[in-house]
Amino acid sequence: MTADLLRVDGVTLSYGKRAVVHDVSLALTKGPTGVALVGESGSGKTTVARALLGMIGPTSGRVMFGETDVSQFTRSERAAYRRTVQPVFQDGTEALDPRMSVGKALAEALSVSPDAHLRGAAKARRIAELLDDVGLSSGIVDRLPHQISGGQRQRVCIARALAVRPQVLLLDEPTSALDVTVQSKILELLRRLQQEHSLTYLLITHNLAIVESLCSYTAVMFAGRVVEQGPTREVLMSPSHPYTASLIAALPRMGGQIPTAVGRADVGFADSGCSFRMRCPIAVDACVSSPELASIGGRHVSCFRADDVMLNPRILNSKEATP
Amino acid sequence: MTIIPPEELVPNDERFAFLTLARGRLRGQKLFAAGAIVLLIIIVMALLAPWITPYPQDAQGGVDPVNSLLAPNGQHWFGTDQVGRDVYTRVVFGARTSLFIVFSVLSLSVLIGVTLGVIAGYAGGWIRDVVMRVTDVFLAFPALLLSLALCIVLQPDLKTAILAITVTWWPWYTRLAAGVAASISGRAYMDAVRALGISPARAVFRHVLPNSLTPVIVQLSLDAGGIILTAAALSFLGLGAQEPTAEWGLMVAQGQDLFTTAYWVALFPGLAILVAAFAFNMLGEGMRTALDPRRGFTS
Amino acid sequence: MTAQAAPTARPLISVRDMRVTYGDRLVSHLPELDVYEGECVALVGESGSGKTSALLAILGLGDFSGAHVAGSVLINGVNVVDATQAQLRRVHGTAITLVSQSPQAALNPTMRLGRLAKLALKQHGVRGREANARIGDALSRVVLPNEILKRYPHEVSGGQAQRFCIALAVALQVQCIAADEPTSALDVTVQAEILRLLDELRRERNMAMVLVSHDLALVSTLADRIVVMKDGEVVEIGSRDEVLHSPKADYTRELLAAVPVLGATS
Repeated sequence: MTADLLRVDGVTLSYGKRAVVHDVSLALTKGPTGVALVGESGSGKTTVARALLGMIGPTSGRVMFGETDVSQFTRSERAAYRRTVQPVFQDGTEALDPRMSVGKALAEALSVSPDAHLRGAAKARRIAELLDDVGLSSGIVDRLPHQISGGQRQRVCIARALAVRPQVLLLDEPTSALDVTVQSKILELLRRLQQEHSLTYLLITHNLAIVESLCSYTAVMFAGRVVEQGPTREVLMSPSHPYTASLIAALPRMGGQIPTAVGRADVGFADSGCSFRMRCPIAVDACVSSPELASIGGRHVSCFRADDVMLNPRILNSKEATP
Repeated sequence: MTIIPPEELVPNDERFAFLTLARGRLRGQKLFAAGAIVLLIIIVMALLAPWITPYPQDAQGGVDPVNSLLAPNGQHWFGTDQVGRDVYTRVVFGARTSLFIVFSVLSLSVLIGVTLGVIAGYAGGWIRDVVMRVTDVFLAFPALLLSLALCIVLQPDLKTAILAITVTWWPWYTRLAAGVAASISGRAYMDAVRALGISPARAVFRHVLPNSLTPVIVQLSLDAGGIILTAAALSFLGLGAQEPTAEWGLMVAQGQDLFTTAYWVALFPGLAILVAAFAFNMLGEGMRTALDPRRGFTS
Repeated sequence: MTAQAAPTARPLISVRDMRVTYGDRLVSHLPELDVYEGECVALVGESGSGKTSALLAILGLGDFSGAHVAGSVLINGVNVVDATQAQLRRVHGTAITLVSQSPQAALNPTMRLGRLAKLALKQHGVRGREANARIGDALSRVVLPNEILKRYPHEVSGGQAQRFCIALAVALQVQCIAADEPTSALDVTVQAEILRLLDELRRERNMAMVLVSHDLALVSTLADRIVVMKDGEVVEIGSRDEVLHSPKADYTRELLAAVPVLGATS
């Protein structure tokens, strides 16, 4: 078992009094590797990311950086941690200061990096290096964010994150705001960087189709809980939680049939018991109590009927959820 | 509702912003240009006052009782006042005074107000609460009354007037800056800056402040007109600039009793107040129309 | 899915040489497009391709904000490009209606949904009991509870709002639904339901659909014909199978290759 770089242990996160993430555990090992956190709106995945960035503290559970609890950091430890885990946000337009040129934004990142001592020509060289690494020419240094394209902005954000030589990149919907042709190029770039710099990715997305190329491990979240997690291939090819199955079924397939909805989609979460049971087409009486995240094969699933789903996925079709 | 109003149909992204922006920008630019030209003329005249006026000494204490209350003529374009001073000269020198007041009040207000506001907006929490409560207290006072009170308590003169107006003006900037700074602090790029571990001081100075400036600048130009009016009001009441300083409000006060017989003594300084305030307003309105974020852009 | 459009009938919408310009910039150009009853035509492209402008122009809404529309777009005999407001109103709601990207933004936020529905029907001459009946039927068709009529737009979810807009189209008995990225703001599971609903309606009532989307995979499940646009011009137009399996334009190939597919390893 490789040592964990970063871990959340049974973490519950709240906004004010309301818990939005319940008892989530996730581990990130040294790269090159990737973990995907998949879920729709309200699943809590972005909140988990914020906790990993140290932006919010857990109500219970711990965020561990190596052997140290993140909440016990000294000042310098926190600073070092900040540089180990860097975010890349969804929308480059919002993620860059509209008044700072590309060069200045990168210089700012460099000023808190191991290369902070660089000056003049050496600094310019390092900036050019960073830009080249993400596929941008150095002529872009004087441009402002609104003067470059969406894809270029996203590349600048990636370059900025890489400037501090991080080990973990937290990618929050990195391609959702981009056109599909640009999206594929950015994914290609991320793949290459992952290998070249031995990076660990935490990919947060609602788009299952992009997960495979970057992440070998996937956790699916619903209503603040992890409902299924395991090796990406297995989770995607033979899901054992009804929600995972519904996500996969809902993906439009090129030239295929209209995506099927599994159960009812537009219904809320249940407050007690299994939060998915209001939407689930195979909910039974037992579902009024919360299922634990149990081990099944090489994965963890929290569903009483996980075995059924995995062995015979067709039971999910045709039935409407009981209201 | 089968037709959705066009404003709501437009996809919310920059490509279409230019369509709606263009119209607003054009109108804004005309206003801005008009205001800017008038102001430029006023400023240049004020700067060159000693050289472009025929009787500069009349603004600095000189009197010429022999020529008192002359109607506008070839030697005195705006006529003369009760002690024979050339009204035109004093109006031009009055511009100096007014601009000085505007500049001083705005600089001080912005310095105090924006600094406090940006810190409050970025820090949030109890710091923000404290600052906003203090601001509210000051805002609760009717501005003119507070200025009046201060002027009465302290020695009434130009410097007191400036101080008094500043005291009532800075809270508006705090409120404005705090609001803008808070919204900017919530933006994604501020998250990125914090994730890099950049210190709060640096984050505020390099990111929050520059991005907060646009609404502050617009507010400045809109306020300038109001400050001129307030200063004139104070002087009119005898609480601002004192004799022999040439100040428009003071001049209007001195000429008000003579309005039926020697209208020019009060009229021309009054018109000057109007024109200057109007020009500043046009400048501010023009800027605001051109930069209105609702039209899709705050560039 | 209907195998192919029935070219025997007259087209519902007939576009000829339609150009949308802003100043001297050509924003969108549709040389020729016919949409028949019961078929789904999709306009696909990336941002800036002109697909949304084209759709708005077809609706007669292309010339707001200073853009200029030229050419001919015939809907039920009316050229929408230079129609009067009165003529446009008749076309909208009977012939064509818009389901937009952000349904909650498109609905008047100060009106309850029930009132909105009644107003919409009233504008097209349907009142009283008939109106209520139609609304009731439409709601049950889109699987929304009647009590949703008492809510305000911001009180319902995105998916419900979108379903409501579709219900309006059903109640108005439109012949064609124009949908602009109808599901991009929705979760993928909700999206699947909305798409299914649109397709079912289309087949039940022989409704035509003009769909605008940047999501080629989505479009490929729903559309009979696909129009690929780039930089304001039509790059390729053909049946779904033609475009997907034997694309003629390089750009189409590029688009197809870029779509991420589940199950493909890198």
